[in-house]
Amino acid sequence: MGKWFLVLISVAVFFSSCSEKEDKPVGTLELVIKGRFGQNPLVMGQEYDFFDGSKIYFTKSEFFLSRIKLRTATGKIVPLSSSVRFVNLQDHHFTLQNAENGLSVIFDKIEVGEYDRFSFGIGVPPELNNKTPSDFPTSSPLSDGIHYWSGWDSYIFSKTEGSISDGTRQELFAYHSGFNDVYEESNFNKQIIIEEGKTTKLMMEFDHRALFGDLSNYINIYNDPVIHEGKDFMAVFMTYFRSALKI
Amino acid sequence: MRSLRPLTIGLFLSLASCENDNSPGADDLSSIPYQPKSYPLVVPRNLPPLPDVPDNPMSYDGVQLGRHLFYDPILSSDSSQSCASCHKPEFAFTDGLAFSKGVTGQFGNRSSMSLLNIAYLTKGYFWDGRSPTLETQALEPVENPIELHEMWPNVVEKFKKHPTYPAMFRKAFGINSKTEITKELAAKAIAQFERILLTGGNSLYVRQLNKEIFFDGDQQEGMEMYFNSDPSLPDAQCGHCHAAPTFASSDYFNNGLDKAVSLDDFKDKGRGAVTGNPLDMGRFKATGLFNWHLTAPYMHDGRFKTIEEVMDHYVNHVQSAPNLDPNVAKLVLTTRQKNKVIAFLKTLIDTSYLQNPDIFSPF
Repeated sequence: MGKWFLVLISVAVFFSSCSEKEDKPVGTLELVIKGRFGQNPLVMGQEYDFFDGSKIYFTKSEFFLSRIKLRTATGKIVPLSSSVRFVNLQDHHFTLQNAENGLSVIFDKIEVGEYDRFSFGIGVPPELNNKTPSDFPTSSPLSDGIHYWSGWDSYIFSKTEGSISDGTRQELFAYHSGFNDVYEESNFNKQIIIEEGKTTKLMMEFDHRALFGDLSNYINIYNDPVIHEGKDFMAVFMTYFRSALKI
Repeated sequence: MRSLRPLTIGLFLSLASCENDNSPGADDLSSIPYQPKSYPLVVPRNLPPLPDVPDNPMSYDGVQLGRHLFYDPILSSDSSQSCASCHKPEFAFTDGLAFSKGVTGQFGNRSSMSLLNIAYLTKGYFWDGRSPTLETQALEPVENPIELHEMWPNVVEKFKKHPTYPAMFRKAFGINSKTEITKELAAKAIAQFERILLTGGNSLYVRQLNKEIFFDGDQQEGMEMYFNSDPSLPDAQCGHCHAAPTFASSDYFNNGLDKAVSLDDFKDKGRGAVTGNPLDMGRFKATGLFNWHLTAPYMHDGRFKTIEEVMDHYVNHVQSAPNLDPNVAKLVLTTRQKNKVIAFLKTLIDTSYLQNPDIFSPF
């Protein structure tokens, strides 16, 4: 009799713990990424004024987001994605309307509650970056060799491409970043409230002018139209990249 | 004679009923065993696992049905052409022509694409990616007037009346009646067949990766220029678009074939006609380079007959356009260096796919 009682209790505990887990209220976080060039919405292919008065336009802007996390008010870290998210602005920001609306990246099934910090890394973290496309299922963006550069033994964390012209010179530029050394996480202190069954929007602006520095100190694209290698230059660019993202 | 009349009438009625068999059970296939088993697929070395296709899992009978349909001219309006007319195994599943001729004698305006390793594409099929899946792609050539120029309802009727296809559909998909045969099931079977067309694992490139062989000097330098892995050598820029491990890309590029002052200038709008994105005008998919030697002529319009012409284009004749890919804008390679890149490209040859009997016509 005692034995059956214990079994009964175990079964009851098992089911109650299951239902507690399933019933935990969850909501959705929608990260809305808005490409900008200074104060203007970024429309791919549209010309903007660069720091030196040159006309610049972009044909490609893509990057990986990884280690995406929220922090609760009590300091608990909640990962939002087990792998990476690939953000491709060139296939989205080709109209003003799209650029103004922003590109949404959705994270669902987030535990309801109040969070005070949003964090992510630009690129592919070392534990994934030390693998190759053959190691990932085709459903993962990391399986696509187009994002991997064998010459570096690294994924390409970001690609920023376009054209700049001052009327006498025209240069196509291709700024690609990679290497474990330039991977870094960014933290944004922000109150984020996730409510049951609801979607909370989090706006992120990505200023493509700030990618190249500021008016007092900016990259001379004519002199350096390509970064495929050169760790020092890439490190500078990635510093600018992180500062170009605002929440 | 009179005594034969009932027999004659009976025979007539029975033949008439055969002609248009509406009797209950005439379409029934349920007595045919449906015992799906997986297809023994061997993924080439160094290639990723094949993608899961939950709504079209590959089976032995599915692949066999797809193989039959792929090679059967029953899919064309005059029974003269099949998928294989433009996708021949010996040409890496292209047809060796710049443009293919359809059943009406009309030529298309784009070159037949290789189907090898097509299972790995994820961002659209055809040169412009207008079909989101391999299954939807397989539907299109049948009704294209410059290809097979048939109507799917006709094809499905031909399947239903065919002596063996109804049973093959049953074995592949478990349908219970001929009435359940659809164009979608036919496309699924063809897609399953196309997913077994894999190559690359026995190439010199992969053997070198696995340290079974060593490259000679030209192959090694060619690879380093291809992947830009040696700063002392020029960047041949190939690997940006034809990326390892498939040496293909799911993406679309303007590789400088035609000059365009504005994005409206492209005669063939390419990807742009599909997405409406102005920057996609004149962009096309970068095809896989395994067995490139069988896929000439090259480019979406077959304008280059040899690989030397292709290299010459990238080094000397890239045309400007607002969306020209920056990676092909300034290639500086000597003739000797071009030849070294070609020496590396030759390490991507792997014709061992031709040893798989399942890829050939069953007829």
